[in-house]
Amino acid sequence: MKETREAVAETSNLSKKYGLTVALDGVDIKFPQGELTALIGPNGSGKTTLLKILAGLTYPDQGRVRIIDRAPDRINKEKFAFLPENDYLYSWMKLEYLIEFFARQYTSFDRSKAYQMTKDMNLKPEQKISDLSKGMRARFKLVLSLSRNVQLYILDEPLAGIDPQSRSYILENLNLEFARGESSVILSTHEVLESEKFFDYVIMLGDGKVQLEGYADALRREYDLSLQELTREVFA
Amino acid sequence: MALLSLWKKELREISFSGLTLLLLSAAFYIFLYYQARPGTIQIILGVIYLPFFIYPLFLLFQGYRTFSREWRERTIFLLKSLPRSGYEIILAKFLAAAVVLIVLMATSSTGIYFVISRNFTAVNQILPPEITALNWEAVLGWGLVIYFWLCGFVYFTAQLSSLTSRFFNKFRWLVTLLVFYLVNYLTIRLAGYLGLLFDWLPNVRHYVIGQAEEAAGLIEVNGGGLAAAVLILLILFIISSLLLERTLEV
Repeated sequence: MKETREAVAETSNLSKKYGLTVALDGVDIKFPQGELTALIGPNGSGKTTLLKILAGLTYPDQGRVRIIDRAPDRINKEKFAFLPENDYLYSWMKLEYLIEFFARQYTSFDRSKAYQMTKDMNLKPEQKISDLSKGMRARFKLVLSLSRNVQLYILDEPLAGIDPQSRSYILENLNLEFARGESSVILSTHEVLESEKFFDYVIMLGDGKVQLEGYADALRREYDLSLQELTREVFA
Repeated sequence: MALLSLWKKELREISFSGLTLLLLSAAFYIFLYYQARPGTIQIILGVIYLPFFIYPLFLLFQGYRTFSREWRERTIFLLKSLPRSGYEIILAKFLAAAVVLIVLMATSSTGIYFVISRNFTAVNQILPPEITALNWEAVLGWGLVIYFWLCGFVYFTAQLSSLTSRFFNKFRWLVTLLVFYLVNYLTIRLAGYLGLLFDWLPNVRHYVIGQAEEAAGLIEVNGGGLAAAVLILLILFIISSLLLERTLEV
């Protein structure tokens, strides 16, 4: 189901093991440029490992990774934003401190956009991270990632733990962001039902291998199923 | 700007433990100041440098904790996502610890100065004349340089041990202790070779009593040893930076 397209990131023969557990097994993927790519798979399918390798936080045992035309390194960390699944913010920091910290660390960070999104997400800049609920922290993590003007956003389970109202706000924002076609998104998620209408390209990962891959519309047409139903079929 | 912002973050992270130690040191010297009398001055002189034995332990603790806490609280994801090199991250952390150490040393030195000044006559009476005649600027200057190096060495060794233990999922404490021991051993061996390698460097001489009328009044620092000491710190710094940037996973 592969089609010729320009890739914003690609992996070839990517393998990674943790002890005896195979996290990725010879994965070849091209993430299309200017599209929202959904990485779908059950727990332990290798999604997070793949995203961490793309972000340069974990290293493959075998294979090659290219992200925005080079191996993931310090220089291209400025060109993509990575949002990890877990809480990674310093609990003693206030939201405004973190915004300023990010603004000083990344030249691509848009301070005013960050303050606007913080307000839109019903968060107060003077709040401390430790005072936020899990959902509020998840929202603020997204604010920090989406406030960067970069070519690629890598988001690992960005909707987990977020209330339905904020989820729709986030998805709408992501959609607006990418309607311009300048940026690309790689997003791993379990929330297929709610978000499938936003997906351009879909990669289903299971047991460390690509199980199914293709443009969302083409997959729907070919199998005559929604992505939610198709996901159930593939991982049944 | 980015490094400065990183340094401020690190300084804020160790500010609580640093401030606690600073207050304890200040309280200790205030206590000594009011307790110092001609009758107690010998005991006071015996304990007056006590905080200087505590500060290397503080650096040891900071060196170990600085990354173990990042991993435990998952903030290492943020740190490793930044477009900063391993050198910058390690340097920001070290500079924050160094600033706290300098403030602590300055507080202790001020405390010692006031305690001694208040009892100057009593101190002069119990100290042997060859000590009171010392050129204290040179003695203290070299003493502080060596002390600062020791604290830096303890900090980088603990940090490297802590980082190395991250390669293992179990027995991290044991690995940390083993690496700490091994690095100390290897450093002594390496310093010996490096000292010989740089033996051609001139020695640094300071006459600490008058103009070197007797050999006991001369401090002579081996140039090769000095270069070896600086290189050792640099090597520890580079290894930690490379481990953090290129090898360690989160």
